[in-house]
Amino acid sequence: MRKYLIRRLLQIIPVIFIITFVVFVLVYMAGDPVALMLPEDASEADREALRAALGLNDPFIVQYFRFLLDLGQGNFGTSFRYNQDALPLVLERLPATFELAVASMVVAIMMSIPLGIYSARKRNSFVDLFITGGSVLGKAMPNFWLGIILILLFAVNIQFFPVSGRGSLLHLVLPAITLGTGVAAEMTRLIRSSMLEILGQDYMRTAKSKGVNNGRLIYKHAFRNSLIPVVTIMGLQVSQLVSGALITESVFAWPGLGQLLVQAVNGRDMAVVQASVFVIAILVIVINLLTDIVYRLLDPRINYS
Amino acid sequence: MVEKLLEVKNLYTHFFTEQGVIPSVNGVSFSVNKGEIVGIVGESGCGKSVTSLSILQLIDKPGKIVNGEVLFNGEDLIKLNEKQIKKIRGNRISMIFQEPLTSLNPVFTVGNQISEAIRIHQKVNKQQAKDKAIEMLRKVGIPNPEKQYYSFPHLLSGGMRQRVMIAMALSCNPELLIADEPTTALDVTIQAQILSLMKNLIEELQTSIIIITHDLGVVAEMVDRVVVMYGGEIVEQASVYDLFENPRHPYTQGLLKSTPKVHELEYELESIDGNVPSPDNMPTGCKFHPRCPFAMDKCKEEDPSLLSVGNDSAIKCWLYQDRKVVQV
Amino acid sequence: MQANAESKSELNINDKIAKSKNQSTTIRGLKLLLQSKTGTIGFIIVICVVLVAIFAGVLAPHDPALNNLTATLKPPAWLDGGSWNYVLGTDNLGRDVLSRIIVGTRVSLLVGVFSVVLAGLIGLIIGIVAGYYGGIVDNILMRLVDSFLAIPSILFILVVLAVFEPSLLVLIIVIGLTNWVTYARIVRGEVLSIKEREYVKASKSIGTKSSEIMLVHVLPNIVSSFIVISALSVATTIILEASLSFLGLGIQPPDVSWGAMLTDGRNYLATNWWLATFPGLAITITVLGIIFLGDWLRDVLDPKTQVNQKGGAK
Repeated sequence: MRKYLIRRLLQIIPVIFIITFVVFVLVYMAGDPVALMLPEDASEADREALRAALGLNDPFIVQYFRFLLDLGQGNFGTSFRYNQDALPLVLERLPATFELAVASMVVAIMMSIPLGIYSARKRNSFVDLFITGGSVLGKAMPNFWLGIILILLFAVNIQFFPVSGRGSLLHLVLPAITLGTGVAAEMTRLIRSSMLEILGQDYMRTAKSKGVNNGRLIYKHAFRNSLIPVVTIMGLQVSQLVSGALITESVFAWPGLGQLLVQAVNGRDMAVVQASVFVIAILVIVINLLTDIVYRLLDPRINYS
Repeated sequence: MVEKLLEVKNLYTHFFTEQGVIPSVNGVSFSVNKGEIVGIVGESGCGKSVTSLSILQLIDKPGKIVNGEVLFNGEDLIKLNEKQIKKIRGNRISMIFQEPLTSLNPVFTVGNQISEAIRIHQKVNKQQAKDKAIEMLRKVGIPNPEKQYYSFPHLLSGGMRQRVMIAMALSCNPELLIADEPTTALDVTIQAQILSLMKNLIEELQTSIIIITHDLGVVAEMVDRVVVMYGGEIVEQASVYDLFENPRHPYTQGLLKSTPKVHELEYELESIDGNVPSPDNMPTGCKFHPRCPFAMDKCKEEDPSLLSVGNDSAIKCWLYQDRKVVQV
Repeated sequence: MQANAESKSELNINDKIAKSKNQSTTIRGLKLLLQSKTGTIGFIIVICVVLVAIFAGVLAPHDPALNNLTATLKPPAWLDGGSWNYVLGTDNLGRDVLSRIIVGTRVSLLVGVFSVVLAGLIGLIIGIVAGYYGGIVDNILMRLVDSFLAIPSILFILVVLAVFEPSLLVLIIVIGLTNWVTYARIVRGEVLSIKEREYVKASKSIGTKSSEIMLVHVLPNIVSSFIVISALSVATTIILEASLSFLGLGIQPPDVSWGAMLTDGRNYLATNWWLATFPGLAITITVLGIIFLGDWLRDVLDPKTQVNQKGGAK
């Protein structure tokens, strides 16, 4: 386990380097930020002075290493829009995003596990067809459209939930359902197929031949085994959760990292774009690592082999 | 007068697939007396496993028992509802399976799985179930059972896993044990150990057994009486002595020839020509006729019936159909 | 490893069967299609969408960009105040919603199809290079693949869109640049197994160029996997493009896109629900059709899933 952890942590290093490199190259290609930073009537001499001060005349590789050095100190530069350091700006948005992500994952789990198991047990029945169809529809429906429709139905027509913003638990419901449903659609399908495979295993027949009753058969013998693929599936959904969160936060004006990033991209606020992208990327990598560890804990066969 | 423990009467189990109905078991009747060991023999696909699973209603969709009775101490198991049959399963009739690795749940310790069986059927607390499970592990010859109780199945060898399966199956002192190819997946030396272990335990616990196998060596070693199946039907029944001395059905004769006789240093394996017919495309008449060296015209058209030839033996073949008339 | 080889040989056999019965392939394909309800539905939807995109100029009853301030926010025809002149109503500038949806089909399909083609090409090249040269080249390229898989591609896309002015071309390129990873992996695996085969070694010894060898032998074996992945990839790309346009980061006005229509429509939710409903329906139906068709193609074409199904049944 320890060896494995060390190996996994080592694997993260090149990934982080590639991310930094790609982002740096893109920003480098974006050209001269000086024009944006100085007033329109600044003289060419002023511009040149600022360029020199910012080190923009140095060779590419020198600039890249300086960029890395800055990153190491958590210095992503200053946001034009908010006129403050980018990193704290990003970090203070984290709790809101975290709240939304957790709530959505809860929604996704509460929907997909019972539905996936049920449709696997009643394979090819009408209900199974309905659930499978629903999950395909959930996949085909864009997240933001679902959000808009939910707002239309439950915040505009029936004025029960607030249209947007963050605050009470009621504010959280529609965004969490929007984001959670998208994730649940894929999870339901995958849980169904992994459950189908497990139900056909020899050990299920053994358990049945012992006189284990149906509930216990599913929720002890099958479910514990299905947790292994389910955790993997949940890990795979992290990417979808992130892209979903960007959009859902924008639909519901949820003051999270996603909304900040989208606004920063729209406003060409590069410091904030870089800082958010890094924070999100690191979070995703850490979550993937955690899922891998949980996966190993769940499956007794892996630890030793 | 011997007492009948289990009596299977006219059992039909069919699989209703999208490609059509597959009649896996077609009118099988046999019985198991108290304390008796019965072997069901045949090539793979002959319906022997499906027959054994039908006894405990363990047939999954799209399979279904369409007709027949399974009398256990006179009570028809097929008529029981889910709740009632669950009280039989693992308690009065239990099963062990061919693949001990895949037959044990990989994410629970072996102890957990044995004590689960005990706790389902006996009014005991956790500690008592654990003690009983450890006792069973010791009984089946697992070294250091207190420690192995906490082992996961993948950490045990194949033979040890099958011992765990046996411990689990016998943990509630069943009256009948159904062993579906219990030694097929094991090494030869381990096979012998497992067979002798089963033999000893059965004597001790006075359990009746149905052994399903394609291995006539196992039959000779263990069994009192043999049921030979072909194409979902019984083609011959006889005591083990009778069967080996005087195999009547051409199929049985073929099977005996195809078994390597190690003690006679005769390694040549003369297999039966042709293939097992697939259940969805059964030949007309006697199902064995395309492979039968004695096939007559009659065999292609009419199916013979299983007729008693005395001495608890029965045979389903036109060769003996006429002779039987003479005998009676 | 072995299963892999098996599925490949099966694939070859499939190819041979397909070639030997070439004349009737189309007819046989159609017959096969009709056996699957969802496949048929998907096929019909996709054909319709493609036709609408091609003939959008003829089909659209109005100029999609034409403002008509005398007919703003008209409801759909079947509601009070609607007229058959504007079947699905008009937006805040009096533009015809139906015409805009019809023209919007073009952007969705263009981005969906061309970015996937680009991704396939990049994946093909990188996969062949990695698989053929092996060693350190392979190592570096596969690390790159891992990195792309480790972080959500939308992050990369957003950085690019922050740097470059978004346009149809930029969208196609940037989405293509993030989607090549799956293709590269398949191609690499195929190359690795083919590299060892005798006929490849033989043709190499006669001096055929290695790039030619790879293309000739690899392509036939990856066609079906490519088709299957591409179908689903087009579906997700259409949603992605709509999402980006919705966020204001995709197609810019005056070009019409379903996602951008939804952004406009959102502001009129309380009073004019149709503005946000119909473009969303258009996206959902299109994507649903492609998913149906893609799933059917996977069942028919991909021998790997067939092998898996057999293995799973055991």
